[in-house]
Amino acid sequence: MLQVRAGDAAAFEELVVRYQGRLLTVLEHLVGNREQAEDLAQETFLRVFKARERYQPEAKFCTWLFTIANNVASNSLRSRSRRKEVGVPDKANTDTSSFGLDQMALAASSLMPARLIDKAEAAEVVRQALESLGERQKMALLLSKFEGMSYQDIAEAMDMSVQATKSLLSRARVNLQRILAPYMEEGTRPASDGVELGTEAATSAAGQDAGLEDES
Amino acid sequence: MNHQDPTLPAIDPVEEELVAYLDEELEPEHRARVEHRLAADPCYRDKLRHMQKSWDMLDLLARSEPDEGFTRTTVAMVALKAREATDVQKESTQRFGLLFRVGVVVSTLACGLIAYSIGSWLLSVSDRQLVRELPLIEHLDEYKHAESVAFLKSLEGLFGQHYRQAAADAESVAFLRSMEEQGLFVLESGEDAEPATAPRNRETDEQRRDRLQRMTPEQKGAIFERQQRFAALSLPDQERLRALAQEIDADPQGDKLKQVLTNYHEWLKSLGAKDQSEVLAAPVDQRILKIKEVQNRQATKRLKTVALELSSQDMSAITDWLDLYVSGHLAEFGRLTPSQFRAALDKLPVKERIDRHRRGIAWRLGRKELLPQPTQQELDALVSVLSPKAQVVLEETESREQEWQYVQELIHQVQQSKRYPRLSDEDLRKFAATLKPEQREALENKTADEMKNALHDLYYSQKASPSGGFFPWPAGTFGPPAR
Repeated sequence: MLQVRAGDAAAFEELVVRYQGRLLTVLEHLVGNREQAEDLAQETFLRVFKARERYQPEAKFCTWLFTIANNVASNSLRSRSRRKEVGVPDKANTDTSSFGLDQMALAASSLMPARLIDKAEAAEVVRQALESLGERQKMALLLSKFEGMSYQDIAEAMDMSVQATKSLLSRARVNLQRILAPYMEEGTRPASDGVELGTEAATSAAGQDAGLEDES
Repeated sequence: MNHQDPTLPAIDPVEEELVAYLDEELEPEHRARVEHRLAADPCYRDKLRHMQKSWDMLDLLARSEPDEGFTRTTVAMVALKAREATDVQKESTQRFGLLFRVGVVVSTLACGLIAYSIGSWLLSVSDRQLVRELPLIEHLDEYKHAESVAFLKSLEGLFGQHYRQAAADAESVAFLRSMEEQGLFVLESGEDAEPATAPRNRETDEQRRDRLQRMTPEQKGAIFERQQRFAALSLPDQERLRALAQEIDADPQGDKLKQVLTNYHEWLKSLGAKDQSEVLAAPVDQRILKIKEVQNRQATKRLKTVALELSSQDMSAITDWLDLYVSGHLAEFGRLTPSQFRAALDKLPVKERIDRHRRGIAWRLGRKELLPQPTQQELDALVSVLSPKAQVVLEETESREQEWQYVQELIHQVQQSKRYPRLSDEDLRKFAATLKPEQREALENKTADEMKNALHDLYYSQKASPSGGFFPWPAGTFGPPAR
């Protein structure tokens, strides 16, 4: 990053290569759409480049990158929800669920062995469960799971206190567990509509997420 | 701001504690207390188990794999935006200057007709300047990468008249050659070929003005955009480019230099962001070396592709040529054979000796001290019987040594293909269907090429040892098939 700060283009490319997969993974699961995740990842890298001179070497680059990514994603999700309010259909969500259904259809066909069907089905259930969490719970969960970030780093990346992060993650994991419980215990596959997923847990997850704005 | 919405359910302290325990965020003392309770309380333990299980299920979520284009477009997009930002900054400085000048002109206009005339004259000057500098503005990006006439002259060997033929995509050149062979048309030779760009310096101002007026709105927009970029350059840079354009125009080899300029620019554009920045960042006196280095890498890549896709005709041609080459250098082959084998080989009839040396050439490849150097005539004879696709790759070599090195790569590939013939996609698909689930799982995240190569290796490894064997490569070799 120090080379990037000095304006080294090759170092910037290396940085993109090194972090693009990780960034895309978090963003794709956050917004539920590959194309949008790529746009957000590019916007994040652009902001990294623009802000390179402000980077402090003592700060962890990874935390700094995901701080920017969180801001970019939050702005995008906020404007997306604003568009939804005025009646524009949410194409991203439509795409994701149709992708999921395609996967499930493929899984159910004889083209895949039983082990893979189970795996594909479980992955789809987890994806839907994640989808039903609020954006902030989802982000905290993804940073913890995929990036292995500490509460301190997540707090920094999401601009909140460590205690609020602890509560946010706690709620996220408890909600996730409640949503997945019927599937884990009885193998009951929830319907593809996220709202029907462990109804109580799913709706409370979204509500709690909004309430956490006040906690931080 | 640490209050909580009263409508939200309170966080269960036990759950929060367990989550922090799983996240390894508890202080050692607290952690010990949790572990103690876990050991004693089955209900507490059960809660933890469920939480851990749902957490583990997140591992099923796929990791995103960016495709090759993503890096390139991201880096290119950032480079473009960064340049735009610089241009806008410069432009706003200039706009301020322009506003100031306009202010002066407006107040001058208020003074009367004389000032109006001065304003009109200024405008026509700017118009005349665009007409005069049109070739430079049109090819701004090309000129920006040309350091000097001397630099362009040093690039002539790499990007001169033969550049297109040498570096163009082997497939399309091969196609053109085959069309020529069928007598459908004759390829133009370097001397007679029409230059890729019109002779820009031979246009008069009047002709340029006409051309400018005939341009479509899109073309005019592009010229305007380049003119803005040119104006955003510092004055010394503008002057340098003007002087360079004039110097090229005045040079007796001007048209050739412009061709070099265009070819060099096209080549730069075709590079990945990393190679491009490496070339442009190299000091001028080392840039030629850097360009050669990148071109060599490109040539090696093309050679590998051609070698992997050799046709059966090319393979037979190379095998036949090997016979002639070995017989022509039989005495030298004998001399370069280690003494412990030489005596036994010398006793064999000539034909068999030739055959042995040809079959045993694999261990000599790449080792100058063991392999006789073929003559240029011998190499030319091989090139003349190969397919146009393979010819193109061999013709772009710079020396006999390099050509021989490339031929050795082709020989190596022919020998590999005999031992491990490439399987068709259909055969690979059939073979994949016979794999065990865990073997298939290991292939799931590979790209198409990686998967084909891995399937290939697996196929030959199983063929050599149907049980799967300990070694992943065929028995009797010292490693997996090289590629």
